[in-house]
Amino acid sequence: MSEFMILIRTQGDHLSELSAEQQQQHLSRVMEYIGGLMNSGKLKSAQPLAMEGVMISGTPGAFKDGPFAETKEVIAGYFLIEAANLEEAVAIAQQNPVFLDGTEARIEVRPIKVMEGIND
Amino acid sequence: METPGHINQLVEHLFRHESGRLVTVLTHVFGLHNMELAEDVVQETMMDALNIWPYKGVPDNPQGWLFAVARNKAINLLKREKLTGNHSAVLSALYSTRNEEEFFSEQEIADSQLRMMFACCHPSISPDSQVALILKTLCGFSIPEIAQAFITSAENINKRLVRARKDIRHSEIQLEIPASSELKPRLSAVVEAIYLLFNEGYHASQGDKVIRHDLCIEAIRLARLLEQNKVGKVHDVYALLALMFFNASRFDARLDESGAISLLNLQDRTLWDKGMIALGYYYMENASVSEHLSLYYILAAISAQHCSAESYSDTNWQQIVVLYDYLLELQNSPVNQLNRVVALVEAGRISEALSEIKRLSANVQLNNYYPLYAVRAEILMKNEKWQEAIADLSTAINLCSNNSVKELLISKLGMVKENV
Repeated sequence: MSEFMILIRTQGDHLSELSAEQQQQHLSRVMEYIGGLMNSGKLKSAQPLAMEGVMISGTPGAFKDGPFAETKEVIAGYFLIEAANLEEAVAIAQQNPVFLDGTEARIEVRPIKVMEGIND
Repeated sequence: METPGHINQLVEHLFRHESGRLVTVLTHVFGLHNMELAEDVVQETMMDALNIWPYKGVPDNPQGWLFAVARNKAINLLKREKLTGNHSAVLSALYSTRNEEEFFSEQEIADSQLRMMFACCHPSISPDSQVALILKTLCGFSIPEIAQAFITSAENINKRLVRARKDIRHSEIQLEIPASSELKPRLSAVVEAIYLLFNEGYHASQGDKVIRHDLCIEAIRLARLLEQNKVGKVHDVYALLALMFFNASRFDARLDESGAISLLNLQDRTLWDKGMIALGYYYMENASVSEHLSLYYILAAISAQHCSAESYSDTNWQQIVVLYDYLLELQNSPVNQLNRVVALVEAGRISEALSEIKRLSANVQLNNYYPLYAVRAEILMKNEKWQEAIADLSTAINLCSNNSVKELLISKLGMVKENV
């Protein structure tokens, strides 16, 4: 088993255009999705990220705090999951209901890097 | 992380109903002239739930969660904006409460919603804006949804709402049940708005859905809120409730398995909801106590005739024609006249029906009304005038914008063509 970080990238307020009933349906689908992951023990943790924050850039002594949302797309939250391999992790990410509702979304799937004998 | 199993705790229509309730509660806090602030706070609260619950799970008490978040947002807003009026009492009340029940009892929420209903139906707000405002504030409908329900653009609905809010400010409309002198006309306006809402749901005028159940259910919910208060225990409200329950009892039978319309004569009457029919009779009886005879009562009586008939052929059409005669005395509209023609046909009074439909065909108001052509086609078919029936059915198909009805007309046209 390996661990994977799944980063959900969406257009900030893409769900606000949905009606109350649609929002609720979306939520039901999401709950079913993470419920399944939790039941199978694949979900290690998950957190939403607030829509504000700063982007720090620069070199030591010359930091710049810039507005964090340079583009409309932001990371809305993450899932830390366990999967046999990248294929399985991708399959899990593809089932995320974020693809079913609202506007376009992108999900980044990254294996957690393991150094053999050190942090495995 | 908590184990799942929260899915079922997402109460049906939670979002819609909670947003309606929260808007009402917060409007009470902010004042009616700040209704938009209340709506914004609730919208933000709902977005927070949508952004957080998918990762953290649905809380054990979703209503309580929503209330707590909305409460905190309201407190921040009150502190920041220094709203006009005396809010210190409200602010301290908000501070000291941790949950909805402490701040507002069920009874108070119901009363608040009632006051909101009366405010939405103030005479300075136009009738079409009244219904839009009710859907937005009391029923948690989004602007696109309202636009869809009334076959208009979201822009148009937005304009109506902006105008309505302006009227609220200009006329200094209060969040209250009007005093006795004003109560009667305002109550009529409220009842009419609920009736419009139900009708729009029952005869969805456009799109694929024949019935928009959610609109009908909201209408019934609002009418029951009204009926539970002493001001609402009157003939019109009872009669409207009877009408709505009789018609709603047939929801499950109105569509067949494929989702197409099933006409009254083909419906499986065992699917009719007996409980709703019983409620229909209950409210009918309450309405009968009054001397007054309303449109709603007659419409309910017509509906009751159908509900009490064992089968389509057992329907007492003669009695239904008589009820339509009463209806025309109260409201002599071309549409009501057309419905009476349908009853005449079923009662076997074909020649009367024929002369009536000829007279109605000359009415320009019905020129683009597809049911006129559909009904005339039926009469022509009874008289075996196939070619003319085909022409009328084709016209009806062209004019009809509800896809299910259209399909029904098309299949009928196919049948007639085979007969020729």
